[in-house]
Amino acid sequence: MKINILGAYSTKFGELWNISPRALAKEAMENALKGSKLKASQIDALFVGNMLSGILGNQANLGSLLVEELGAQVPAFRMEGACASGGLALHNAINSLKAGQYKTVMVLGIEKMTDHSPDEITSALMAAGSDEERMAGATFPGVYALMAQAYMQKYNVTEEELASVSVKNHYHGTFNPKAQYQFPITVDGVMKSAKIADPLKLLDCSPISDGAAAIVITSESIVNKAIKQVNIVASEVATDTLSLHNRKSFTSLTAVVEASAKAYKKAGIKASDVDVCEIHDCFSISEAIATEDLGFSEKGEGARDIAKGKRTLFKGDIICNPSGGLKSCGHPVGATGIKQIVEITEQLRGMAGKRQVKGAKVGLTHNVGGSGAVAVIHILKN
Amino acid sequence: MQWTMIRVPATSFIDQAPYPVVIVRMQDGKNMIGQLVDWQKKDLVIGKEVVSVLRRLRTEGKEDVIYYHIKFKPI
Amino acid sequence: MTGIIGYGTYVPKYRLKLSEIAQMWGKESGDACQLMGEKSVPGFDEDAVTMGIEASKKAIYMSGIKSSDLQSVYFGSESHPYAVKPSSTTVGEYLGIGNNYFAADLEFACKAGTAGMQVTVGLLGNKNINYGLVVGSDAAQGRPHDALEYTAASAACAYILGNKQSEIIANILEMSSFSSNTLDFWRRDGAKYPSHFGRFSGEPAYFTHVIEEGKNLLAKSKLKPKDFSYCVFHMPNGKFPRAAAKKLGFTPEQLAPSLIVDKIGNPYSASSMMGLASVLDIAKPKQKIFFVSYGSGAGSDGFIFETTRTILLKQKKAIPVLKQMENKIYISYPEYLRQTHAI
Repeated sequence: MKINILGAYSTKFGELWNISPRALAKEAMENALKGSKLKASQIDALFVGNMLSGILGNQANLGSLLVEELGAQVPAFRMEGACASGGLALHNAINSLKAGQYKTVMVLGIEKMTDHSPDEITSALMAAGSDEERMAGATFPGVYALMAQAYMQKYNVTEEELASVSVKNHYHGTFNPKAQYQFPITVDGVMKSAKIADPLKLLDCSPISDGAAAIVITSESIVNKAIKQVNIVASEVATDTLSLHNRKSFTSLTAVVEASAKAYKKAGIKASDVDVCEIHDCFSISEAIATEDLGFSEKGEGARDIAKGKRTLFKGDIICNPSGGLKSCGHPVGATGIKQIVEITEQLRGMAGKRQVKGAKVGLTHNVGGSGAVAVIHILKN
Repeated sequence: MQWTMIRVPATSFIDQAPYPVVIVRMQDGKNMIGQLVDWQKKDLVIGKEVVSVLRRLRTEGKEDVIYYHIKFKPI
Repeated sequence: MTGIIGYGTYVPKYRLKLSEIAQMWGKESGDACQLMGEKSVPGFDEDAVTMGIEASKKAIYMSGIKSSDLQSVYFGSESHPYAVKPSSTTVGEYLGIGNNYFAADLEFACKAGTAGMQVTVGLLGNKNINYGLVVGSDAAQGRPHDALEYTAASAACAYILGNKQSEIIANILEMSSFSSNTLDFWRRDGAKYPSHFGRFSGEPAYFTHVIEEGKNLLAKSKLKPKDFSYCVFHMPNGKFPRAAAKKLGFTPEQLAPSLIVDKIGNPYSASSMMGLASVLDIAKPKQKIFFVSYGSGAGSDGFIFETTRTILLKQKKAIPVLKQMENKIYISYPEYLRQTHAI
């Protein structure tokens, strides 16, 4: 059974103080429907990925709320896996198609975070970690900072080399009209930015953002001759311990290694076959480690390869985060997983405008929850 | 084993920042994560020996229950 | 006979120089600074209970018993974390002593701990228990710009008392108490800082009770000051214990080893108990120790101790109070305010 992507749309990401969650959802879903050339009545179910609506907005039952914005009173579900909520929603949507229960579904990722103070958000995001980490006062950046320390120590990587991740993603962001930040930054700028959790500085960390992204997928063979058909050929999930300190390694996410291995097998490809990918760079260290876990770079060389330009648009071999990634495009937690799919879809359709990776045939999305407790990998082909 | 300095804290830890958080290997081989207390800059090195102590977790409201928690102190 | 079978002390790492306080309030360094240079300050996340637990752990280690052997916990302090909720059971729980123990919190200003010792002696004498833990611990709060700010310090001291002669390092030969309703120093429920009547804390308060109790002890025991190797008095400052010792007929040499006040200030309920610990760190067998504590409000608890041969063995298991007080780092006045939650 082929999983076809019909419509794919992402709202602008940023501090959208004037736009409510309902309005965000409506914009994303309406436009995804438009792109799919379907009516709302043709959608069988809605899958929502979101992390913080309960914690920050006191709103549970999110599926029921947002299906009102879809315009079709169909079954609706919310999935949560911290920052992997979007990817998990898609994974479950795909499974529902494979099971034959539904034929065409809408998958929406959405998050509103910017209406709160930094310490409130920090507290809320700690929900992605473990109780032990919370009691130790280990904030989310703090946990990744511990990974960064271990990585830098083990492989002799400098803070400047890590900074090149943010620099690359901001460069990509200049080509993305939907990105939260569309200006370039420099390594020097990163180094001078305020420390959040040593050694991670402000510009090593993805921002707090609002945004939504939606896609329509179907198991039916509806073919739109006007655009290139894009299919999801693999959707795999793997988990690891919730706490960082219980993991086997502080410099590699086993969940990513496992999920991607399963995905490559399913898709019948090797890591080097990937042309373009969207990586979960919640922090600069995350992308460095991810490129190693996904098999693009040798262990310990991830950051250095990025610094050398191997993942950069127009000059690299496997292009990572053409959208600007989480750092530059923004990271509305629940929306990211779906936005990644939207980006890769546009890349494989040849409709990515200024950030087009020429001749992209195979795309991958890498969506991670917490400090690596859950990883969702999708592989798309045209 | 590893350390970092938290400078942007969560709400309940706001009056303690900046503070170090460390991952410690215990005598039984298991790892634990915790705040480091009574520290000086020279203690923030990988491999520093620490001992576990009981301390107040954070500052709570005037009428709330007081929480105690394990933290670590350099020897 | 009942006696001490082990003890432990805990002093927080931080010190504030008294000259810093003087400088803050624009005072010339004078009297207060001459006798005591600095005071101990608790860490931001320390309180009477966390310090009491540290001291108790050391006492258990020295006594050579298991924490589950303890059958009573009496915790004396004037800075209990809760007004209602015992510190003693928090200590009991974290030490893992089980559920079958007598417990209560005591308050009697600086003599809460020694009062606890007297209660425990009663339980031991009546054979209700075999081993009892007594803690005197305070994270003392001194009102900024008040005279007491120079002396209010923090520390904890724990004693384990028992009946087994082979385990006892210091027998309790005599014990008595002198109490009255004297309002020299107080703190109302809900108030953050204590209040006091200044010079009234001297003659009518401290000296009346300490001297009367001292005289009682000597009369009861029919002993003279020269029969003692050491004397220990409550130390609200450097002057008072020296004056009390002199008045009762003791020499500066007998008093000297107990004067922890010179190093860390006055840790209230831990003060006299720590002074005693400091003496026990260096005492030889078969030495008599004269001990009178003082608590505002007011009262004095008196004890006469006599060391045994066992003390030599157990001294090896203790980190001497003197050494613990040397483990310190200095902080500034603003850091002191932050750590004592004044800002």
